[in-house]
Amino acid sequence: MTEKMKKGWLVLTALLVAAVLLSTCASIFAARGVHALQVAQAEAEQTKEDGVTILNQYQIRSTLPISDAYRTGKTDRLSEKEKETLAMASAVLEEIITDGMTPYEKEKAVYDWMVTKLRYDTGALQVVPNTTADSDNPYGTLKYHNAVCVGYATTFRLFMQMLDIPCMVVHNKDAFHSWNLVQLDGEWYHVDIYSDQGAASYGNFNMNDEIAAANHDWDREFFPAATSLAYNYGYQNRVTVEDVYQVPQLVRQAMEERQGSLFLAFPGMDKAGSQVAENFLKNIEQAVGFTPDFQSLMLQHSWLPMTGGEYVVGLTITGYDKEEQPQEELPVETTEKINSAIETVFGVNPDTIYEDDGSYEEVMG
Amino acid sequence: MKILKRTLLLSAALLALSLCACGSTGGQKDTTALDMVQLQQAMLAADPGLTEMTSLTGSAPDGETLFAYVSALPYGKVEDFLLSYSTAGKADEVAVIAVKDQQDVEEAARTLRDHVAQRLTLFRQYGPDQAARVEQAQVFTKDNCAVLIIADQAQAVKTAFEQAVGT
Repeated sequence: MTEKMKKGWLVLTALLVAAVLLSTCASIFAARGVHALQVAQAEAEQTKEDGVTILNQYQIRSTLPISDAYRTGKTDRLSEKEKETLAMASAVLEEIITDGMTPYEKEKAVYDWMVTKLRYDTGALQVVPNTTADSDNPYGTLKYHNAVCVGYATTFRLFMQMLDIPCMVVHNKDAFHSWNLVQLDGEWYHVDIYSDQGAASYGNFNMNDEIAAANHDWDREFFPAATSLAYNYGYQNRVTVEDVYQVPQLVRQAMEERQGSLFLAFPGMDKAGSQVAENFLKNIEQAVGFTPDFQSLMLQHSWLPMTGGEYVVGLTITGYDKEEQPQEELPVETTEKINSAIETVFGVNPDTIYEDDGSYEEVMG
Repeated sequence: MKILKRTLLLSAALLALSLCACGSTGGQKDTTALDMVQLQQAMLAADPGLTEMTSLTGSAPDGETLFAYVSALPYGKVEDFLLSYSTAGKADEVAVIAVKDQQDVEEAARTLRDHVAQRLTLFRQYGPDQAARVEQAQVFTKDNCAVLIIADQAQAVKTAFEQAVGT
């Protein structure tokens, strides 16, 4: 073998070793990259409480800095917007929370305030969504009283955390909806104020998993189980019905007392009996629409899934606010007074220029 | 009188032709934004209950972006479109997609059905009374148009569409 050939072999060997080394390094880097990607993907798929986007645009964000500032009194690290949120939330608690309230009473006071003072932002339901700014966080919710579900849920959690009551924001598996889990006396309960908005029916207040599952789904591996009914409003306030024929009178009484909800329990009722009760309720719902005293009211019912075979039905009564709305047509005297005032200033009485068919006469020129 | 009748008939025929964005002309389609606006007005007028609606067509400045809210069809396949939807939290909706190539019309209809399924999921959660109305949604095709109608008087809106495109 000549010197030239030896050198050639050496160079070739060196090149091969370098290639093997490079290839090994590349494989290691690639494997690390793939692993990092897998970890990131797993993290993204893992259920979490915050950093979740609902309906592709409303993000659940932590408000702990605000509630911490409320408890410690140190606001120097808050942004101007957070300070304003803290001021608005503090003012609400000042108004509705009194000394000596139990955690449940505080929670209910917040629920009552939110369910009556806030309105849901229907812009979220549009084909091209058009919601008010900040409707998904406590700032916009408290400032404009207009919110999407995320706004309700994060605001309720903020209030609870300010009051030292453990609370979480829950979302469903399809990231379509969010609500809360709140802990009272060591037990967790589902609270969905958004779904009770306007009705103040307590139908979604302090539900156990069984009741909540009728209209919600969530990652039960991640979120704590809610098994108690100790603070479920409907269960605790249920009216026992011994005779199903008492139902119409009980419903009428609830309407006269302007109650937003009524929970009826039927002890010892069998399936045939529940059919009779169901029929009763459906017919009452229809009859209400034709009753002069309650024409503006709407009645809806749903059975609460209860373990142990107990039948409990929740009735939601809405429409009391419609009773208070002004009539579509003003009284004749009011119209005459308006027209007379216009005539005094403009010299023309609108009543004289309109024809019966709604067209108007030429009064000028 | 005869002349007047002829003039009226001719005018009506011209109007129908001008609305024929989706008509089967066998040649080039003249789908101008104005046609879609007229078609939209005719369809909405067919159901007096379609109030508090926002309307837009493909000529909107951000038409491509807005189109994505109703259909996943690649925008390059779209000749023009119209979309009207409720701004009062209701399910009412009217959409017409005119495709450049009639072969894509079924795909366009499929995307509208997917859109209806998404709306159904949304309303089941947030407005069960409206979900029942979404379940009655009509999706159909006519020549190079895919049409979606969610309205109490959907049949009247459909008839208005068919009359406008000259069935």
